[in-house]
Amino acid sequence: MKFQFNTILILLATLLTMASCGESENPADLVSPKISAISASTSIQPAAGQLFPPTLTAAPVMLKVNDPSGVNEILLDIHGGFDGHSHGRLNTNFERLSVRKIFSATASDPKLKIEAGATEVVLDDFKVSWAGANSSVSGNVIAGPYHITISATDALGNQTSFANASNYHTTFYIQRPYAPVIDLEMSSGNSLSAKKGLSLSLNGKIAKGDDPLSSDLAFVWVRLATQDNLDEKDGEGEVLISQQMWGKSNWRSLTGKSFSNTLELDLQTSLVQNPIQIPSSAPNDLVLIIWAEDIVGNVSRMVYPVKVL
Amino acid sequence: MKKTLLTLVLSALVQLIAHAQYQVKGQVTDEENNPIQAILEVFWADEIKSEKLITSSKGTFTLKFPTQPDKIKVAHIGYSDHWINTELNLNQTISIKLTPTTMDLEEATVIGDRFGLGSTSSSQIDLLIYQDFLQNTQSQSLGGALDKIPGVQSLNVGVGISKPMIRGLSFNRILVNDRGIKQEGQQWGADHGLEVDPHDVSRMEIIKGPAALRYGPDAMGGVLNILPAMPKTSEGLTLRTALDYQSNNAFFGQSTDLSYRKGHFFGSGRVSSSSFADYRVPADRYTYAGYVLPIVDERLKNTAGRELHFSLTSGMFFKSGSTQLTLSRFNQTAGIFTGAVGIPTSSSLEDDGDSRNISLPRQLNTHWKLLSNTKWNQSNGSLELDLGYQSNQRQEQSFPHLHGIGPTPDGNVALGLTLHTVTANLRKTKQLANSITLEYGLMTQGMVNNYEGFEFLLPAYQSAQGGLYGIINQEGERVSLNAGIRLDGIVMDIEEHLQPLYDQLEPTGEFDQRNPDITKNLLSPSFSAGFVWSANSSNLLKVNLGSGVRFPTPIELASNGIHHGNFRHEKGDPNLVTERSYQLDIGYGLLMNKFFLSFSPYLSFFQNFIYLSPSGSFSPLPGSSTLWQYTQDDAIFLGGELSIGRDLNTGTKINLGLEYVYTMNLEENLPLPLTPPFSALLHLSQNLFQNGSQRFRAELYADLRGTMAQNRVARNEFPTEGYFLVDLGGVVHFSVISRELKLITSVRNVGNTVYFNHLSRYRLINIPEPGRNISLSLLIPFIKN
Repeated sequence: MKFQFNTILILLATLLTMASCGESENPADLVSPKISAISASTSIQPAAGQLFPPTLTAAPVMLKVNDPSGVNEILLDIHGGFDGHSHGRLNTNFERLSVRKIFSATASDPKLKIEAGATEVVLDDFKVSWAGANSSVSGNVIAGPYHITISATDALGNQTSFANASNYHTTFYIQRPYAPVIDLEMSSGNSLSAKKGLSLSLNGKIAKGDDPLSSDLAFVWVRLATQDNLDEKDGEGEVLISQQMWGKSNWRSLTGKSFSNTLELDLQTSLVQNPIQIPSSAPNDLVLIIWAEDIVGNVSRMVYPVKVL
Repeated sequence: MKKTLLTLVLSALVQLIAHAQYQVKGQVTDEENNPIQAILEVFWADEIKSEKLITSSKGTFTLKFPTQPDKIKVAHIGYSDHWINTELNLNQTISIKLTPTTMDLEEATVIGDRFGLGSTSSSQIDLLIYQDFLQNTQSQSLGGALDKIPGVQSLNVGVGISKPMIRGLSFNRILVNDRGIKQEGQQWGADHGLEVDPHDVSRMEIIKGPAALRYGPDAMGGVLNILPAMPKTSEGLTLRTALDYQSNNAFFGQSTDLSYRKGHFFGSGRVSSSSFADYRVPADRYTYAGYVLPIVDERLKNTAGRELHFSLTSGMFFKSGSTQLTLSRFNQTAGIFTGAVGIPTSSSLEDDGDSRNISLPRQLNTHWKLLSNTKWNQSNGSLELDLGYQSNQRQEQSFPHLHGIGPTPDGNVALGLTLHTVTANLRKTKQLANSITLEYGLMTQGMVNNYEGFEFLLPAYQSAQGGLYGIINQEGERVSLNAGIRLDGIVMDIEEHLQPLYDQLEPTGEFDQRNPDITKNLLSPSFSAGFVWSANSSNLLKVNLGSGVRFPTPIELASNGIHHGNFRHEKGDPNLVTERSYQLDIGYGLLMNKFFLSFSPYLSFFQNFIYLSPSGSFSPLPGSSTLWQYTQDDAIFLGGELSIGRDLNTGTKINLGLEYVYTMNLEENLPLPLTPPFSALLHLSQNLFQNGSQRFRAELYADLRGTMAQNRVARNEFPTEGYFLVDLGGVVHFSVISRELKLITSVRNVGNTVYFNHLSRYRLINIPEPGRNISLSLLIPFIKN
């Protein structure tokens, strides 16, 4: 019996030792390139959650990539972020912005050419357009959220990755004049106010715009949360407080109450009938996120700070 | 005086009658004394005349002949032939115990065999496992059931899909042989399972190391040789059901099998079905693309699935052998984790309210097989013919990608692949002398692959492959030798694929050639030689040296598209040449009183080893990342397994298995991808009631697995931390209404430990392995006649 106990102990110790230590690292360079802002005082452009208002038709792309073995290629990928990459179908004459540009020393387009073997590549003179002569879409771009991903490889083949967040990946928003209009009256400065234990009161409307390309409303989603996480819920961040929906989303599996009028949703009266309640335990600073879709898929999205008293 | 004379006369008459009527009585059983209805073939000296008889259903026989036969062979399918020595005094009842054999090997032994190295006549490490072993693992997949065997790992996609890896080699370097026919599916994909019903495997041989000589070019890393189920040994009917439950993914399954024997005829049938929900991981969030993403209710969304398999076998013994025909279908629908396709977001991972639905993306796999096995027993050997037809259909379904490059495709079939395979293998075994056996054979295979869907990865192709081999074995009292040569050839015709080009959603009329027409005609020899030295009853040494080849496959030569299973664009290279290996395998076994140790190191050098290498360039295809190119470099694999076992008198057994694989790409001086980490499994078991009633037996066990971190990684592969897991379980046999039932229960990952498996596909997206899982299986013999 003594043998049995001792044997088991020794074998257990062997197992635990094995689980707690690993083999030595490879000496070879397996480190991927680093993507960062051009300077410490700026951020990579387009930045997380950046809004491009209806007056703008292009987004500048600004960043730098470093790698000691030499940057080989940089990939710029922009595509619709409407449906969280579930690749849904929508029959519409509007087009999603879809850009895929590869910067390399062998690129035929001079705008995409980078220096061969450079250990630092700075991109500060490249724009993605969605209207005008250099537009990446031939028709009218669908307004709404777009994902941008920047990836890079080095001369050895090391690549940035989603798994360790060494890719740059975020969401920005294109606003267009034909998208639904969100018109909200601020209660104090640039923020809204609310009281704990009461329902949220808003003055304003969400409506079909005046542009000839504007369409009727399809879906409105009003939600109160602890912070805005660009519709990519952060487990540590955004906590939903309360929400209301009207209509049926083109992009997500979300459905709310029927619209009484698809041309306009009056927020004051609609929220009286369908209140957004502020819990008495709510934090002092919240955000109100309004997502509005028209029937062709254009999305307008606005975020407002809410001071809770 | 008269009385004396009468006695003498009667005595003489009895002697005369005794000579005139040669008689032998006996009973044939297996090693556990179960009766076997066997065929008796009686030969006389002139070898022309022979007579074939069959024993009673209880295995008993009484033979009477006017003249003494030269020899009597006792045969039964699945067992080694037994020869009765007719020179003995046979006027008494003799007991004949037949030993199990295989269709392909003369001898094989079980896990936990005397030395833990397999048979004592083969220089390879060949282990035989039985249905009990597979049942007790309670794995949903056959691949997953094998990872308790040192040197065998599994590549997993969640819990329902896995494929085996032997000594760090997998995909097209592990051959799965089902009832004599090589299983052909789309085995190049890490996310493609084995497509074999684990319930429908009654015996399986596992060969660790090269076995290309006997099985063909793909068997460089090893073979899983699924052997035909042994027909019932006595007349009657058997009906059994296995009921399975697993808590982690609310798995419910059943497998019912019926087998019969009537005279020379036998048959069996099995239906297995299961349904499982999304599986749970011990985490409510994970980090990917810089976001902390939710795992709602700790369930991985859309990992549910369902399966329905069946198999039917019918066969007969005829005058000089036996034949059987098997029809089977494997059918599986399995969801793919929503976060594993594209870039996941919180909205796409929101709970859909139904953990059992299988929505998009998902994979559907159907594998039909029609297999025929026939064996003719001959006076100095045997002749075997295996014929097979397989139809493998694989569909990956998803919403089409919308990247503004072309119009939105119809339907949800992203990638559909249909592979038809016909196989014919002829094998002859001939006894050249008392201890020398020659085996030679011809293997042929034809394949046709077609594709459909709005994505492209693998083109259409046709191939014809053939191999001729010869193996000679000499079995001595202490030393057994074997050696063989083989010649394989392939003719492959891969069709060009043209992808239409669009400009802002409008077709340009131009095409992108994804792959050209490719024709390959390749011919390569292989060889292998080895010996087994049974130094004494305590020491056994096996040494095997071989050189095998593997022809580049169509996926390696001509693929060009996004492989969502690996999250990248993969491209073949039509200039790839045949891969060659030089492999040395050693096995040493030490057996002492209730203690055994086996050590099996190996060293393999691969010339032109084919693997996927990051090109450093981004794919021109929309929606993909970098381009990975099939390339080939020289590489080495070395490692080994160590097993130690101790059987204590108290009914306690202790087994420790260690496994290690070291790989190196000799061109890049980097490890190869998916190298399994060093791991150890300590298995403790305790028999209960071993001296009590036979109506109740039980065994409890604990498995403690320690796995080291894997920091030796290939380029763009992430290190994986080590982990320590505890599994507990037990097997109980008990009798109810004269039926012996078997209850198997286990708790896997008792501590609900968060850990990552270096070989899991979901490791690539930072998803931990399944959490605690309580399994219950009940085996009920309804009819046992």
